[in-house]
Amino acid sequence: MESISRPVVVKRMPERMTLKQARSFLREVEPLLNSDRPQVVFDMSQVRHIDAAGVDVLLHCMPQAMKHDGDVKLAALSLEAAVVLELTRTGRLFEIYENSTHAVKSFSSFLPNALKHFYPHPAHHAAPLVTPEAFIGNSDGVDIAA
Amino acid sequence: MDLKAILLVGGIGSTGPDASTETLAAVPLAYLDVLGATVLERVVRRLRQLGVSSISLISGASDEVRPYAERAALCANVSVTETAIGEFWERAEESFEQFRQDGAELVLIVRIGPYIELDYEELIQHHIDKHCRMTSVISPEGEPLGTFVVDASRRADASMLLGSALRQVRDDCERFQAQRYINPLRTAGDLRRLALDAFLEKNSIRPVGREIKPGVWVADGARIHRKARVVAPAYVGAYSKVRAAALVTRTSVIEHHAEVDCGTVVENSTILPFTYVGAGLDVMHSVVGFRRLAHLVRNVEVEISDARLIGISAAEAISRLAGSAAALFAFLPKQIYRGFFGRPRQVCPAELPEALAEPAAALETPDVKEPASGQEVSEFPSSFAVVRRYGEH
Repeated sequence: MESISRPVVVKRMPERMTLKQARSFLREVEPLLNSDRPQVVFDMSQVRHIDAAGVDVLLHCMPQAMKHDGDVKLAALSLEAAVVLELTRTGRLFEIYENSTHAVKSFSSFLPNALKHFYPHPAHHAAPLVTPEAFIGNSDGVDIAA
Repeated sequence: MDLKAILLVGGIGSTGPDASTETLAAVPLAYLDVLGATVLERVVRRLRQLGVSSISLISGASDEVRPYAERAALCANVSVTETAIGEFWERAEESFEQFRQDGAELVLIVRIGPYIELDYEELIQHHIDKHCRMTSVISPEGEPLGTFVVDASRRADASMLLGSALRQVRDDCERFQAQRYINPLRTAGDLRRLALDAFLEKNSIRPVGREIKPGVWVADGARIHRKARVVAPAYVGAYSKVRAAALVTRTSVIEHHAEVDCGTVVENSTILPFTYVGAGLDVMHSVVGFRRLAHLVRNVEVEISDARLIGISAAEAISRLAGSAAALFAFLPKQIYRGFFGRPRQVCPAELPEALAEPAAALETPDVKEPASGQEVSEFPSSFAVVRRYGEH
């Protein structure tokens, strides 16, 4: 069932995602988003300051990728980023993964991967309530039907 | 008996490794409002009820925090001594000496710090009955809570106590156990807990305002849009604004002069005074103020510099008025420009298409043939639903 056909691009977001940085970040990722079926993961582990402009960029990237039959997923949210995404109701629009590896894997599997995403929470950071393995069945993540 | 009191705010936890405790954005929690009045104000009110003749407030906060200290002292009607953090305990000693010279018999030293609901009369009586020089208030676990009663004549004891930042007391210090409500008031979570306990009537704090319906308190001058929802228990402070389609729910507190913009949900949170919360946001399990959001579940304090999300309005009425006037002058030309050059509104066509003018098929009388006898009905298989018009038997 697993098929790795297209590359997944992991892009690390800068520490500050205010207007200036958000613009330059958008300029960097726009070619990726305009490619055919883009599969992009934004690693937000470094983000310490994010404002409305940073959130706007995320909201701009999502439909842009979907227009080309692709998807944008978020990974490794810092606490600051998680708070702002929750505040602006943006977090619920994206699939969010604990780390980039899980996010990349999610592109190569079918439906059960959609259940993998969880919203990072300090109490469950080490052991999320919904672990990918719980739905996959074995560590290879292949036996979806089982 | 001449009883005087020294209140200490900001001496401990303002520097060193404890710098982040007992403060939010460097403002001591004692200066922050809980359901319409600051913690300091509530303590002062209790001391006045006890009959304390003179209260001195020693404030050891930084320069940026000074306006908040002055405002809190003004509301509480006490004289404040602003001091650098390094000279904090010296000023406290000087204040004690001043009280002694003024003829005080007992001096109550209260650090806020923890919020304690004490029976002060019982404490004073305990101190007198035991004939002790100094009495320290302790928690049921035996930890000192930073509240002391000292004989004014015992200058050396007071000097040792204040010189050691309330850490050292003489061996013969009497202990008095606080049995009522104690809140450590170390973090923003404790401040939130204080408001929550007040709603649950676990402490004696009562919201400043009018209970307009069960569990919803609104203070004077608050403006709640008719399309906004305030779900009990909740508190909306004086001169605060809750805009259209906003929702305030689950023990949320909007303090005075705060503003919740359109469509924002405030759930289990406290919005501190003079705070603007932008439109269309979800504020959950947080204490918001001073351009900061302290998330209580995630246990993180985030600075939000974007004024469209979390802003701060001026404490002075004139500055707020000037800001509103400037916003109006910026708004009007934009609207006039839009009126002349903007896209016109789509006007509905005068004549509707014929298909729309005709009555919908669903509104016509259904063409259902009634069965002539029960035998015909029985011919249908049992899996078929039998449809019947309402009102017919």
